Amino acid sequence: MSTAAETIARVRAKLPATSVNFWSDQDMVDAYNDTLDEISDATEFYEQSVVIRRRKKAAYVDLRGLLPTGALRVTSVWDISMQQWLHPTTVRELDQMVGRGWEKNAGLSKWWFMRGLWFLGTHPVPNDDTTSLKVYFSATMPHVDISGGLANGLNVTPPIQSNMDTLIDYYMLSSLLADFKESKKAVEFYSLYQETETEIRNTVKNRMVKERSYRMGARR
Amino acid sequence: MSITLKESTDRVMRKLDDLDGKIWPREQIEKFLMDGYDGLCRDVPCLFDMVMFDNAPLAANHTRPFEEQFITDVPVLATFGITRDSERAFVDTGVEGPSNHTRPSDASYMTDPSTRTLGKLPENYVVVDRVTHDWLRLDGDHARALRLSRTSYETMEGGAYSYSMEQDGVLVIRTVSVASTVLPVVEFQYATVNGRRVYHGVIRSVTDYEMDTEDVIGSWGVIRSVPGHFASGRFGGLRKIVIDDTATRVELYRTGRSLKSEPFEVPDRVVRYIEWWAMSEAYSSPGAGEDKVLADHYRARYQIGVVRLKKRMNDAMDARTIAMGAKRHGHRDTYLSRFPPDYGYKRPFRR
Repeated sequence: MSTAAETIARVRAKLPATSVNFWSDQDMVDAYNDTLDEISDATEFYEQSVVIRRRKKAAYVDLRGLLPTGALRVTSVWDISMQQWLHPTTVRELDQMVGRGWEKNAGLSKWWFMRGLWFLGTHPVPNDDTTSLKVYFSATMPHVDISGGLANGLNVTPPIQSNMDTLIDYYMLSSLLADFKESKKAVEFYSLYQETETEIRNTVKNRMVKERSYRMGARR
Repeated sequence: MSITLKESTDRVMRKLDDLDGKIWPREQIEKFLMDGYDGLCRDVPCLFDMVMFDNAPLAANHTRPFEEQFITDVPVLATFGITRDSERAFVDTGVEGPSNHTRPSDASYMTDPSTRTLGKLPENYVVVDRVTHDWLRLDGDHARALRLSRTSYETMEGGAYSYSMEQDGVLVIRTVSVASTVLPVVEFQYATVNGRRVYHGVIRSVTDYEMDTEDVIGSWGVIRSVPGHFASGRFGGLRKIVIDDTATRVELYRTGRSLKSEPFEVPDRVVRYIEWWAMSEAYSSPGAGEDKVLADHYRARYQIGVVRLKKRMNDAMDARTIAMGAKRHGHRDTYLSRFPPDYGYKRPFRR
């Protein structure tokens, strides 16, 4: 897998000679970061977690400000004090199975659900202010920074597979050529990107298929 | 979540290679972004919110909506339409009320208040997701079904079991029956400024609903969330707080708040979808910058974003391993999950 600097150099070499001075280094880095965002968004392969505190008797936690700005979707929830995973559910199911006033039932939470993008609900509601949850979520990858540095400089390699190099190239070329008003070429590269993206998405999705011996939750 | 309209406009103009706004003026790009934001929130209801309606009479301080622009020194309260619920039959549909006092603090002195049947939803709501009254989920009913089954559903008093959003205007919600139990809302002591009580200020001390056990820090209090209440969030409750026990709660999805004063309320990545919409609109505008190929390209990318966001809104259930109330399967279930076919005594076949 190439470093960010190598990828940017490779893409710059593929751009039309007439456009050499059109893009600044910052433009190239922005396009690279945009590509990382797009791949993360399409495949949801980058996952993180954060610990949140809940308010007593509150059925919902507002995740705005608690999740980083690159968060895409909550994927699972771990109850730290009880050392157990909460099960996903829906408000419809709670209405049907628990009935009236489920928002008031206090105790050890066993279920989680989302309302919209930001409100994480738990059931039963916590009895105190100290019960914390570990919320796992998919997110966009951290951006590289033109100012350099070991942690996030251009000399780092993103934690993705080597076959994603081509994917990054196609997307960057499409994005940059669109800026240069090379419409047809931009659309062509985007089509190539989409084909490769499907491959990568399948790779991410099927990474466990060979090893899997049974389907979770199914009767064995 | 933190991207502002200015940042997003700058980014779009940079991508359009028109930083000076010679082809597409800045205001035009801003409008495209605002339209895209609004459209996205309508295409994919994703911003959740709640509105509470108590059935106590309203405090009102004007009679017509146009007067609101002249109210500058005091909060805009409800309108005086009717003062008792029985007067509703004599006014146009959708009139707010009953309103029978002029300051929120007067509500404490109202004895035997009239019931209130209608609630006015926020103008930016997209879809109502769930309605409860006294913690009971209400069924949504069409007005024609109510007319068929309950002739006097508009005035019938009792426990609320249903709601309707038809026949009173698009912003009005009505419970059926008209809730008859009225309890006062939580009383707060608000700040006093120049001898006047400020109703929309910071809550200083609270002596109800478990807030009396909370530490109040400093003489002006600290903005903080209220136990058991939604939408106070971590930054406290700067609003009238209504207890669910006697109130109607409407859970809804809305569009984003005005970008003139607030940042985008959707994740940073989703802002990019809106920017694609804006770029599509810019490229499809007749004039020097028109480019149908790129317009279609960015429109398609916006649509891909919408599909992704829609899927993401329901994806939590992908991680589901058990259903609520269903039998749970464990390792023990693998052995003799059902009786073998030759189990038990042989019995002769009989019809």
